[in-house]
Amino acid sequence: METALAELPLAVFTTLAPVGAGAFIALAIAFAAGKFSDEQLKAIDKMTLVPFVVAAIGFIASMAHAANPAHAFGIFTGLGSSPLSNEVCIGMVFMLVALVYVILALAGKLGGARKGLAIVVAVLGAVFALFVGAAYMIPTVQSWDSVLVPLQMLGFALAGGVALGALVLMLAKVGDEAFAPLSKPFTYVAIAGGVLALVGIIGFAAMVSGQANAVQAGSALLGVAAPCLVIGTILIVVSVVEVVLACRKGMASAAAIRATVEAIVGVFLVRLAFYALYLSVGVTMM
Amino acid sequence: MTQYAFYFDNSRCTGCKTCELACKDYKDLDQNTAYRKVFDYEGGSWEDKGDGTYETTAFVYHVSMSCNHCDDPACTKVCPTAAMHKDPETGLVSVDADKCIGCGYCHMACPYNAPKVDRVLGHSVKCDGCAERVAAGKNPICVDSCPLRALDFGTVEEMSAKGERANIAPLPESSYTHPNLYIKPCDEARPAGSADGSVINVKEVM
Repeated sequence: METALAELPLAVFTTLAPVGAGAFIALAIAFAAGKFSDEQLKAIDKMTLVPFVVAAIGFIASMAHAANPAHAFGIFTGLGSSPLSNEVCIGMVFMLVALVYVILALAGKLGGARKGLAIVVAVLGAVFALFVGAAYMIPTVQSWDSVLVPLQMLGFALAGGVALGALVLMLAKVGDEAFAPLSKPFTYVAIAGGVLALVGIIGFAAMVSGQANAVQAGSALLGVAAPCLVIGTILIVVSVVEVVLACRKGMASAAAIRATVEAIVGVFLVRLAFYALYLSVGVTMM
Repeated sequence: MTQYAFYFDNSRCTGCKTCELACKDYKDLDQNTAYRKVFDYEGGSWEDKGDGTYETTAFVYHVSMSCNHCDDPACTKVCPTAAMHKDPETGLVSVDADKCIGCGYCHMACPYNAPKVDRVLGHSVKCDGCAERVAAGKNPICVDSCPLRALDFGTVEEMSAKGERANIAPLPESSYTHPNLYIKPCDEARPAGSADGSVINVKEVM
């Protein structure tokens, strides 16, 4: 787990940025499926800052990972060739469009553009989450070079995003009546996110357990990372169950807070385990 | 372009690590950094012959390796700033410290454990093939220091005539990055990807 702790800033980034992005997916669904009064929309718009700040904290944490962030502007050089450049560039586009959305929301000037712009931010958020995962698909890293990695990440964004999205609506004091039409879509998206995360995590763990190089065995790495992986996975599942139950009974602030915290802590633990499960095709250890 | 390459005579190497220390001395590297490393690869056991006797299958050999200045380097492919680059004249791979952000992506991707991030310097560091010595018509310092003459350096045409492309354990299959390391294997050498043995001096080479 020393590897995982060394990658702490990346674990924070790959937890908060996709969950923050996922909350914008939840908000786009809310505006598409729900009906809100002007008053409610105003309150939601104010709280839109919450998921943006969550994602922004993730990006700031990622800077701590680089030994020399002063050269960060050069990252655009690798666009199209380096998966890391692709991830950061898509992330910047997402954050810029999300920032425009948040500024318009705070200024009360979203008007008729609300649904369209929310959908654009949501799509960019989903693409960004996939690219965060795809950045780890390196052919010389046998344990990470799998489509299960971006699938996991999309699952984290959806499961954690719905919880955080619900929290935004609760903070905006949207009542039961306004939340009712969102219950079904939020339930479906939370379950879809949970299934993607579960399939991604279980498939990834099964794959790593059978891999080895001349330096390390995947099964041994898994033995060390298992507590983090299992507790993290359970927390993600508990978060999804919490959202589903709250959607049936009526969403409340307490449930949304619990689900968000469970999702963020759960994803963070799974991400720590992910870095601990680095296995090169050669002789490199992280 | 002249692509340079290393040659390693696995049948001669005694694992003395003079190459590693000569490099550390020449490049003035700290305690935790080595551009060339010597991997001790061991395996085998005692097998019951069924007639009251036991036969050993134990083996050990050493692989001295630095950056292999690959034809298709994993490090340059993933580098987000093109700081990690391959010299168009010599094919030697090195880091442009003025561009590197020290993200460690090159370290993750390289299957030969060549680059690493020096957080004090603020960029990746690695073997550059002693580019300045090569430009002056000399060998890299590790090659000249080897007391067993197990290392050599020259054009890829010269080195490939002496051995096969990095194809023994604990190295990965050469098809991943096409390394410019040519090896004459010892009798005990196992093929790349073999599970017969393992690197036993892990802390020393990481």
